[in-house]
Order: sequence, then structure tokens, then C-alpha cells
Amino acid sequence: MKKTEPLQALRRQGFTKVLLLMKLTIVLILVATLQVSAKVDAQNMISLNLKNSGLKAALQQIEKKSSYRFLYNDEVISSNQKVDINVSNVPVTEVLDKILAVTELSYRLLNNNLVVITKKNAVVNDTRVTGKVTNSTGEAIPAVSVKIKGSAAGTSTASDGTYSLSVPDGATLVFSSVGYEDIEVAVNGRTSIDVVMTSSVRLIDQVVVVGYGTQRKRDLTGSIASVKGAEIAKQPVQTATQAIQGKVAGVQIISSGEPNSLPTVRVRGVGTMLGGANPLYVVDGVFTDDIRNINSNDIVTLDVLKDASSTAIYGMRAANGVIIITTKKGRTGKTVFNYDANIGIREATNLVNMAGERQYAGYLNEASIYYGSGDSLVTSSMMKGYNTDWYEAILQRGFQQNHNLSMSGGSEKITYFLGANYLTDEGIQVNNRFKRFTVRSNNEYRLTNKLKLITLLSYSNSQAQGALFDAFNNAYRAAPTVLPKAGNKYGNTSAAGNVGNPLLSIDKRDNLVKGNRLQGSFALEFKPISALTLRSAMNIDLDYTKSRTYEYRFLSDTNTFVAAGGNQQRGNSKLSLDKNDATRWIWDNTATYSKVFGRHNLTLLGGMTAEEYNYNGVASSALDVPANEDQWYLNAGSAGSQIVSNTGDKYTRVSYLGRLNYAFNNRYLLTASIRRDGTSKFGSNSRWDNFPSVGLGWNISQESFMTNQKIFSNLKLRASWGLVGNENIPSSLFRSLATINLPYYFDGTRYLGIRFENINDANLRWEKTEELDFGLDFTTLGGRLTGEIDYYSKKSKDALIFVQVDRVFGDDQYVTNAASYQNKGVELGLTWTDRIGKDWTYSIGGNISYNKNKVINLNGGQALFEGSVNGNFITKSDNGQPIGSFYLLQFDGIFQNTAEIAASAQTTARPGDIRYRDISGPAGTPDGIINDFDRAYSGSYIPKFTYGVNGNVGYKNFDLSFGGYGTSGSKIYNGKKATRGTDFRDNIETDVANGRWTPNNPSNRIPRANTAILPASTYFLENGNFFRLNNLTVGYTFGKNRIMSMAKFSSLRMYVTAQNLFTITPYSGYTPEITSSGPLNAGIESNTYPTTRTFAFGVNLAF
Amino acid sequence: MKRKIIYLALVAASFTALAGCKKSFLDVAPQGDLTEEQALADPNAANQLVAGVYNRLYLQGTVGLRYLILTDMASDNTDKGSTPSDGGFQGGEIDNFTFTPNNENFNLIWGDHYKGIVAANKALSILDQATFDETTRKRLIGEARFLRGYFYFNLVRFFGGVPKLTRVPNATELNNPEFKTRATKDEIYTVIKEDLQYGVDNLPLKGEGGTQVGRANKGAAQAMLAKVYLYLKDYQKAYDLSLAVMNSGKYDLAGNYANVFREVGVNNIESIFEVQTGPNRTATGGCDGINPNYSNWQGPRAKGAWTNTVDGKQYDGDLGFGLNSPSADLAAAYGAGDVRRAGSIIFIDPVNPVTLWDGFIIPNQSLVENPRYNYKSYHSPFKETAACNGYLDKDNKPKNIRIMRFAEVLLINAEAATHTGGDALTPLTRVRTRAGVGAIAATEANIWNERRLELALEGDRFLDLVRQGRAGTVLRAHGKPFVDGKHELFPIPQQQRDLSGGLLTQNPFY
Repeated sequence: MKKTEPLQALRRQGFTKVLLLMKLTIVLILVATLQVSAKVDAQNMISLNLKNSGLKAALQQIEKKSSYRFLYNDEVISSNQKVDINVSNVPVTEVLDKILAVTELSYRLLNNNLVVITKKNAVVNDTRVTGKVTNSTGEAIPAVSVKIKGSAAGTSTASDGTYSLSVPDGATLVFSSVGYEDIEVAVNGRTSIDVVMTSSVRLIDQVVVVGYGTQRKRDLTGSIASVKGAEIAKQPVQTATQAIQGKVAGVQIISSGEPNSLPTVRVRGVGTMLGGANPLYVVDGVFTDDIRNINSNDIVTLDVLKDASSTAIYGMRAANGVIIITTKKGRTGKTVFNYDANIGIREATNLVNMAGERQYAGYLNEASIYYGSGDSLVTSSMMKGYNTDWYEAILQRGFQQNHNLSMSGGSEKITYFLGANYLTDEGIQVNNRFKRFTVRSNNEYRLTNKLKLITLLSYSNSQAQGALFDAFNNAYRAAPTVLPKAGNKYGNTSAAGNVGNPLLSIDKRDNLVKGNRLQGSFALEFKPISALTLRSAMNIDLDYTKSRTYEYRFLSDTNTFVAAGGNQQRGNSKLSLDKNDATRWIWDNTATYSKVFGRHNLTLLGGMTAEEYNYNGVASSALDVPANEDQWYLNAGSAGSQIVSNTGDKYTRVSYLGRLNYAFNNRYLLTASIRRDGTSKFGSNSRWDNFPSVGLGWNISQESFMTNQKIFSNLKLRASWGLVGNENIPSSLFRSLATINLPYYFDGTRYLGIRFENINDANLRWEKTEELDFGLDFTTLGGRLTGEIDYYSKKSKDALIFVQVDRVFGDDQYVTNAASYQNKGVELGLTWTDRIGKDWTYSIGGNISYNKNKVINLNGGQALFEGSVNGNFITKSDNGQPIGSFYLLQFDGIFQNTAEIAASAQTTARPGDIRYRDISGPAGTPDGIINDFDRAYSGSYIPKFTYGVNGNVGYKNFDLSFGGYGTSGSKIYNGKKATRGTDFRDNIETDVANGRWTPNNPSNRIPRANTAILPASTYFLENGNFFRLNNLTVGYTFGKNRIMSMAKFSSLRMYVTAQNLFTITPYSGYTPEITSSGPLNAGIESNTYPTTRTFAFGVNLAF
Repeated sequence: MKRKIIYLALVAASFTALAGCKKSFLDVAPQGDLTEEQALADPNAANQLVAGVYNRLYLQGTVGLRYLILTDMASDNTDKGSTPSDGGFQGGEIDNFTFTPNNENFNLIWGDHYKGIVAANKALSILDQATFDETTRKRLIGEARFLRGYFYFNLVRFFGGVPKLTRVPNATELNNPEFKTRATKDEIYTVIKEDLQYGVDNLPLKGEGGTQVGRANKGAAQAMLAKVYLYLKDYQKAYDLSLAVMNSGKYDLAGNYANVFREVGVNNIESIFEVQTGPNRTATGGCDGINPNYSNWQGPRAKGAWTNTVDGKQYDGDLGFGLNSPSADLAAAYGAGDVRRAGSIIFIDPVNPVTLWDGFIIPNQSLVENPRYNYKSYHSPFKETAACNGYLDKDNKPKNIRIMRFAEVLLINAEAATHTGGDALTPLTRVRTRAGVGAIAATEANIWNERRLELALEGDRFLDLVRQGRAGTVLRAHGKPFVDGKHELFPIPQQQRDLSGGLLTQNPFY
């Protein structure tokens, strides 16, 4: 791997000389001992014609022409030994016999074509070396590759960090592991070698997963970020993507506090409106949109493919980036058990202070007496001193626990990993809880020397009691003068012109969702020759969910409420049962040829994949089902009320793929790939397309002119281009299909009609994204500072969009490929790692990314209006603006007096009302009327900057880590605040009530007391910037002591951790992280789950 | 080397094998959905397609509240209603004649009618190719053409000449100027006359030839065509057609006027064509099928708490939005003893609660928003079929809406007779007798007034006034700024003009 420097160092020290030229083969992460036959094969028949050559030169020639590598001491081979030989197509052993016959030397073949040359009669023994590898905090490091330098022979450490290996005399061991500095240790006759590895700044030696293969990070030409499973598992969050928030530049992750929620992930901005903006997830080869079934503890690495040259191998699925998850495999060695667990408490944070009873009464009465009907809206008889805090009524502290038990190990023939996980997570809303049980079994069978069978299977069973999202909004609006519940009766908010009682809404609904998911892969790997790997994998994903919702009957009478009245009632109970079966299989067939020819390093990949997805959903319901849970069956409903609907989906894909990786002299790198995709989602004219990419890299630090500089230990330039697609659309959008089940009544009997009513574009095709990426990787300051800078420019063309048509065609719009978007940005990531003295180690990393998103060509399409609040659209996506831009009236302060009003466009306003800017009118100039012509673009939820900071500090046995994440430049529409006033006795925020305009408090920021909904304007638009301390963890690892030994623990660590410890944000709502249904609706807070904070205690135990 | 070649050949062979079957593998039929090719092959599909056209009568813009906004709210019959701050789906602008071409009702009504027309065209295109028995095929064509004629009749009365689509354009014709340009009023009337005449010629009489209740039949086509000829002032044709209906022996006036609009009066002897409803649940469990909100939007609106218990069913709360409130002018127009006044209007009392026919008690005016409500749109939560989500569900009530009643046929006949010299008095008197009022002279003015009272709140008044050429006189007297020469037609919706790239011309003075 590292050719020049270490060699020189070793020569100087007079140690064993090793010649290196590594074969580049497909490196599977965590492969166990490599056992390759040493028998002479055709490859090692060589011809050699040398006259009066030096012995060393002769050996070098043999290395070039064969796969043999020599191991000898400099002192043994003197420079005056000359060689004369002329042979043709003979085994290497024969050549060596001839060459060495005239010398004092003899040789011995070891495993893996390693040849040890020693003086004749010297005793060369294999020694068994054992030891343990730990990190600077004494924690065992599993899966460390331990190799004999210059050979592929080696092993890797077990879960407890131990290893055992036979080595020849004079050998040097190389310890390497992802994320740690390589260490070389000369054996020097020792039989026990313990090693302490330090965290690596040499990220360049990481192996990353690149899609249908792996690559050393130093050989990459694209932009790929890799996060270790350990980093993910240490956070008490359920979904892996939530745990990488802030860790990867260019990736925005919006997470919700809801248990079992799937975070929204945006890789390098938003490049689609309708095509689905989520990245593709690939879990051990399975394509999926949902990774909530994956236990974080089972993950080895999570790789984020960002640029088009990296993602193009996934073709039409790749436009939004690709996230590849690789799960743990077993290792040869004794069985190791790990138990990792944490228990914690979760609570709501960042709630909004609402007015108490007196303030509420004061505000509403002022609104009514001065500006409304003149009546007191809240009379003294309504004020009973309850001062209800509705959040208290509907929220809870949730308990969560997460237990992982795994065993792994293996023999020469079989390696296995078996893991089980049990997780329960209570949400912060009463009745909201989730539990999940997962098992994973990942096995690898070496059927013969050349044939491997790999089976990866995971099963997850989950059960969720979902939260009622509108209860969060309703708790915001509910009057503080009403008790949530008194005895078994509920306070009646809606009777008094207020929103319904949210606690009642929660209690009168029972929603249970059960999921079963089996996901896995069966792969055969055949290596007919060492350079060629043929692989065929059948990947499956079976996802079955059932949901049962029971809505209780209740009337607005005194059986339910303390006082009767109001509209909150449900006349008929309803039972809904849904059953969804989704199955997917993907068959991958690839051939990988990988070989080193002198200074040429070549890997060729070719393959094909086929995929089929099937979905079958049954939805059913019945009315008047009794409230007794034992009778929650459709048949128990009233006769004739049973409804069943059954829908399905099916699509298929076929793809051919090819990739070339070529490196010359480790300096000049080329990656080129092409994928040809066909899909059933488009008509036969437009279903096939090609997705090419090319990437170039230059390892400047490998150049000879760089050898004498000490500034950069690594410096690499990258450039790439690629074209990728997006076909994440409904299966039959291009087809004219009947709308069915349209009821009409003849003879009083329901008759179901059909209609062909949608306009369809039969030539619908892929959205395509073309991306350019330029990157620079460097390591400097003695290896302490590592960094990456990337610039990218992405252009999405042929994007799907609604185009309006004249209504005479019976439809108002249809979907076609008619828009382009652009995302341009810069990403910077830096990591500093160092140690202070013997006991302190630390590292700190940060990343920041800038992205600019805009619509550049709505070709023939009209601007898209979306984001409904109070029935009005508040976002507009049009040329020159980011997707989903808020389009609003412009808040222009508060009218202070009648003179200001007279001079304004709102002559009927009153002092204290909001003034809106009169921007335009039908004629394009201000017209003295405030209406839709006065709306203006006001920013979007897409942040300009996202950033993260992460750090680790170790002191003796203590470790501390933290991770923070933030965004800047986004706007949030406070939809919850904007819908306040839907009912005239809705509550009001304390800040608004306190700061409201009055003659004595001439605020220019908050209007006078109001009971009605205010128009959609920038008054409700807030700055969405935030910084959050995502995670803070302090741990202690127990050293070796008697208790540990007696308990047979090989390692034990305990920790406390806090998730979302604090959030700094000017945003006044529940959370600046708003998950949305799509890019056009992004950043509107409405029915949003509040931010939660978790404190947890955990343990990592190996035995 | 040899082995390598073998392996590569094997790999290549397996790829080729897959490539060979790629076509069929990627040709996936839509799951659970019907394609046009499949529909053509299915004789039942034509029947279903026609039912799909009827289903377009469930749109707000074809017969629901939006239609009433342009026909009653625009007239002297009703006011916007609801609370002062409620814009009433921009109906307030229509009520006050302050609307612009951007008023949402125009775009909605325009679009919903074309949805009906396109559905009819599609059904007809498939019926044209269908091969099943000729009688059924002609009947289905007649029904689809009846509905298309009805939709065009509404459009031409609201907007004048509109784009003419009587076939299914293919997808490449979305920019064809033919469909963006207005046909003349006469051309549209020609389509209407031909469509309805086809119905007159080919549809069976009520109850004959396997007709079902709710389908357009010969009587419906004759009555509707008679009305069309009234608008075209072709009184002889109007007279003959209305007389044919009267002489068919299939229709008569029902005894009780108020009951005509209740569930007991559904499809009664007086009914010629009405929108059919039922328990309102769609096959997917939703409730969005039937004229959602027709009753709810016009239902009496509370200002304070209401409680009701009838037949042990408790109902606490009001009945709806209170829109389209009958005007004081309409209430005053009924003569003494006219049962239609109480049958059409719910009057709220300043002091006493009022009890509706089913026992529902509406409190006095202090707890109610408006003084009058449309009784014809009332659907009892207690005594009539419960809405989709139970009797407390206001949105999805199974309320049939009457489009053509025998009483109107009598009035068409009477009015035509005043021009043709036929007997106008008998049909007029029949209508008045049922209303509990005595005979009056069969003058055109009296018949016009009778139409107002008999058809009040049924979506006729404004169009009738315009037809009679006295909309300006009547509405200005009612305090509305009606401009002669302009307001006889509503403006072409601005959105559609924009989409047409300016090809769609605007009506005068808008």
C-alpha cells in the first residue's frame, strides 16, 4: 500500500526488506482470513532471460512476472551476486532453484506465494503470535486486519480484539482497521504482541462501498462519505439516518421526534418536484425507500454516494443520492458475545408558552370589545381558575430501552453473525409508543476454495401506536379555561367556539400498526481465478403491515363531556383494517476482474440486474362496531356498513451495468461507468436509457516532486461528471386508466361507473440529473489535519411537473417532463486529530456545505402553487426561485394611527392592524388594493448552509464525544400559528399576547388582539436557522481487573448519553425540523411532532 | 486462458438469456386498473361509462351550491347568507354584482361542466364502437347525449358561446385552436337541440323498455328540449314537446308541495329528472361521492348552542353554513295561503324556536345567524336516510336534487301557449291549485311570477329573468347594480382565457 516511505524507513533500520506490489482485488469488508492456495498455477509459469544481472534485480523481475513476493534481509543478499539465466515458461520454483543454486541462499515457500529467502541452513520457523488490539482508551478493536507485511496472508481480530497468527521469522505484522492508523510491528521472535491503535487521520486508507463493489478511499474519484456503524449505534435514536445528521457534508437530514419516524434526507439539495426527492437506500444489495427495519447495531458502515459519478452505477434510481448500508458479518475465531443496551427517558422540548386563563380572557375580550362584536368573549363565569396547560394534558415522558445481543465467530468454512435487538420507545404524546424486535443472521460458507455462499437475512417485527398529530396543533389552540378531563368526563372546548378537546381526540381513537419485514440476500461468489469474481445474488424484501384503527363513538352530550354542546362528536364508531403486502426481489449478476499489471491497476465490473416489485393492499372498514376490543371485527359492524377496497401495484426494471477503475502508478485515477436501465413505468418508446459517468483523480502527493515536501502527506484532486435518473413515480402515470367505482343510483341501487378522465403523457420519461463535481482531499500538519473540499453543479432536466391545460379537456392538469432545476454548492469537511501527552487523545471535525437551489426552466409549465394553509396555497415554484418558495403578502409593520391608514392601501384597517406592502396590481404597478398581486417570494425551507461539528476526547479510560448540527438560511412558515383563530375562542401565545399592539404599547411587530385568522403573510414566516447539540456522550471503559476476569468479560464500557440536549434557534414553534410530504410543501409547521430530548444510560459488554 | 474464456462465455450467455426476455418482463399491465383497450372489449364497460357521466352530476359546479350561486344568489331570490365576514365561496361578489372574471365560481362551473361533457364524449366514442344490441346501445347513447345537452345548455346560458367539443381529442391536440376558440351561441344551441332530440327519438318512456328510475328517458329529453325552445323563443316546439310530456300519462303533480323536496318525494310522480343519491359511501370507504355539502352549505347556521333529541337521537349543533339565504323579497312574493312559502323557506322566529317537519328544533333568532334558510335543501338527520358517516355527518347527505319537475313542464306549456294561442290557463291553474292558491289570469307576466314561486331555490331564477329580458329591471329594483348588455352573461373565467393564450374571447364589457 504505502510503497516508498516505509520502505526507506525500514531499509535504514536494516530490517527486513519487503517488496510490495499489492494486487487490487475486491475487498469485502471484514473478510476473515484469506486462504489462497499456494500451488503453482499457470499464472506463475515465467520466462526469464538475464545476463550478469544483480540478484536483487533478478528477484524484482520475477515479482513483476509472477505473483510471488520475496521476503529477505538486506544483509543476506549482497550486491555482487550475479545471475545468468535463460528459461522459458517454467515454474517459478524452478527458476529460483537455478538462481539460488550458485549462492549461499535457500528459499522457502509460504502461503500466498510468499517466498522467504534465507542463508542456507538458517532455521526459518513459523512462530505463532497471539495478542490483542486495543484503542487508546483500552477498548478492544474487533475486525482489525492483521497481515504479514508483503503478503496477503493474515487474519483479523475477534470481537474481543484478540488474534492469533502463524508468521515466519523476520516478518513484520501490519495492523490496519478502518478509522485507525496502520501500525507495523516487527515480530523479532516474540510470541505475544499487543498493539494499541490510534484513531486514524488517514481516512484515505478506508475502504468505502461504491455500489456493486468496494474501493479504497484513496482511489476514489467521486464524492463518497462513509460513516462507521459504531458512530451510528452510539446514539439513542432508532433510525440510522437520524444518527448521521451533521456527520456528512452536503446531506441535510430532517428528523422528527416521533418514534419510528423516517427522517427526510436531502443529498445536495432538492432536484425534483414530483419525482420523489428521497435518496435510494441499498441495504446489502436490497433497494428500499425505508430503512426503519434496520437495527443500528447491525451496521458496519453507512456510505453516502453524493456525486453523479459515484451514483451513476445505480442509474435511474440515483438522482437523489444513494445511501448504502452494509451489515455485520462474522469472523473466523472463537465465538464472541456482545451485549449493548441503553435505557432512557424522552421528553418534549421547545414547546410554546400559551396564555393562561387571565391573559387569554384579556386578549380575547380586548379583541371582541374593541374590534369585534363588543361582547365579552370570555366572561367571568367561564373563568374557573383552571389555567389548563394542554401540553401537560396530552404529553408524557417516554421511557425507552434498546437491547442488543449478538454472537459471531466462525471456522475456516463458515463464519456467522447472529444478532437480536429489542427496542421500545414511548413517544411524548400519551398513548404513542413503538416497539420493535429484530433478528439478523449473516453467514458466509466457503463451499470450496473458489466458491462462497453468503446469506444475509434480517427479520423485524414492529408494533406502533401512532401519535395523533393534530392534537399538537389543537393543544396550542385549546382554551385554558377548560379542564381536559374531570373524572371520566372531558372538558368541552368546542362548545365554546374553540377547537375540539385534543385529549379526547387521542383517547377516542385506538390505532395499532403491526409490521413484519424480512429482508435479505443470498449470494454465490465464484472466483475461477484470483483476478475474477463472479457473483450472483438474489435480494429480497418482504414487507407486510397491518393496521387496525378503532374510532370510538361519542356524542357532545353529558355522557362524554362535563357540559354538552359543540361539534366534537362521532355518531358512529368505526373500525378500519388495512393490510399491505409489498414484495420485491432484485437479482444481481456481476463479474469483477481485478488485476495489477506492473504500475497499472485495473478493475473491470460488468453485470446485469433485474427487479420486480409487487404490492397488494386491502383497506376495509365497518361502522357501529362495539367498543369492546374483543369485538373489533368487521362482522360486528352494522349490516351493510362494511367496505372493502383492494388495490395493487407492480413494476419491473432491468439494468445492465459496467464500470472501469484504472489507476496508473497510484497517481492517476480513472473511473468510468455506464448503466443502461429499462423500466415498466414508462411506455415502450421511452423506457430505456443510458446513464454514463466518468471520474478522474490525481494523487499529487504520490508524485516524485512531492516526495521531499513535508506539508502534505496526502493531496488529491478529483473531477467527475455523470448523468443519473429519477423514476420514482406511480407505475402507470403514462397510461390512460379508468377511474373506477364512481357511484350513481338507478332504481335506488348503487351502481358503480367508470371514467377515462385523466390526460396522460404517453411519452413520459426519466427525470435526468447531470452533475459535475470537483474535489480536493488533503492531509497535512503531520497527519493531524484531514480535509475535503467539493464543488458541485447539478442540473436536473426533463423533470416531471404538472402542466395546466384548458379545462375544456375535462381535467385541469397533467404530468409531463417539462422543468429544469439547478443545485450548486460547496462542501468542506475538516478533521483534526491529535494527542496530548500519554493520556489525552482528541479529535474534532466539522463540515459545512452551501447549496443554492433554483428552478431554471419551467418549460411550458406554469408555476406550481402548493402548501395549503387555511385553504390557501402559500408556496410558489417558478423560474429563478428555489423549489417550494414561500409566496406571501409582505408584512410591513403595524398601523399606528389613522393617518398611516389613510395613506395606505388598507383604508378599512384600524390602528394595530398589520400593514402589507402594496407591491403590484393587475397593471403591474401598486394599485391601492392588497390582494394576490401583492404577494412576493420570501425564501424557502431549503437551507443555504448546513453544518456539523463532531468531537471525541479520550482521557485514560474515559471517553467523551459530542455531535452538533445546524442549518442556516431556511425559512419556516408557522402554520400552527397561522391557523389560530379558526375558532374564535382559540388560545394565544404568551409572547403574542404580551407583545400585542395597544395604544400604550405601539408595537411595530405584533398586531392588536385578534380572534380571526390573519391573511397568509410574512408575519408568519420565521427564520429557520438552528444549531442543535445532537449528542453528548460520556463513557468509561473498565480496565482488566479481577472482577472482569472472574465474570469472563473481555470488555465493559458504561456511558451516559443525551440526544438533542439543546437547540438554539430563533424559530418560535415546536421545532425547526419540519418533515413534509414533498418539496413543494416543505417547511410549513402544521401538526408537527415537537422536538424531543432523550437522556439515556448504556452499557457495551463483550464476553 | 481457456477456462477464462469459458467463464466469460457463460456469463455472456446468461446475460443474453435475460436480455432476450426483457421485453415481456418490462411490459407490466396496470394492477387492478382498467385500460381503454380492456374497456373496449368489455360490453359492460359502455354501461359503466355512462354511469360515470351521471356521476358528474355530483360536482359542486354542475348542480350543487356553485350552480345555485349563479342562478339564485345572483337573482332576487336569495342573499349570500352566513356571517358577514364569510365570503360564501365568493358568492357574495355574485350576489352584489361586484365579481370579476377571476371569481372562482366561473372557473369551477366552467370546468365541472366540461368534465361532464368530456365524460359524455368519451362514453360516446366507446359506444360508437360497441357491438352489443342496438336498443341498449341507442338508449345509452341517448342518455349520454341528454346529459351532454344539459351541460351545454347550462354553459350557453351562463357564458354564451363556448368551445365546442363533441368528440374526444387525442393527446396531441391539447393545443389545437379549435378547442380554445368559442363557438357561437347558435352553434352550441345546435349541439343541444341535436343531443336532446336524439334522446326524444331514441329513449324509452318512463317505466318502459327496461328503463330504470334515475336514468334520462324520453320524457326528460322532451321536457328539457321544451325548456331549450322556450329560451330560443320557439314557442310552438316548446308547446308541442311540453304537451307530449303532459299527454304521456306518466307524470302528474304530487299532492303535497313540501314533500316533493323530501325523501318521501324522491322520484315521485312529478319527477322528470333528478340527481340520484344513496347512502353515499364509495367503494373505497370514503364519502366524497354525493354532492358533498349541498345541504350543509345551505343549512341553518348557529350563533349559539343548539340541542336536539328526536327519536332518541341526540344532535347538538347546527345544520350548516347558512349560505344562499332566501331573500325577504322572495318571502314577500307569495300570496296568502300559498303552501309553497312554508315549503320552500325555513323562517327563524325572533322569539320562539321553530320546529321543522321532522321535529328538529331551531332556537330563536338570537342563537341563529340568518332569518331564512332554504327548506328544499334540508335533509333530516333523524327521519331521512343517514349520511355516509352517520346522522351527525352534515357533509354527505343523500339528498336528491330535482332538475326537472312536471310542474315546470306545465309552466313551460302555459307560457308557450300564451304565444301559440293554446290553453295556458289550465296548466297554470293546475300548478296554483296544488299550491293552495286560486286561479289567476294566464298572462305571460303571471306565468313568469309563477315560475319564480314554484321553482324558487331550484336554480332557475336568474337565467329565467335574463331569458325574459327583464333581469336589469327586476334586479336593479332589488338594489343590484345590474348593467344591461353586460350582466346577461357571466364573464369567461380569466384562468381559461390565460390558458388559451388569448384565443378565448371575453364577453362584452368584462
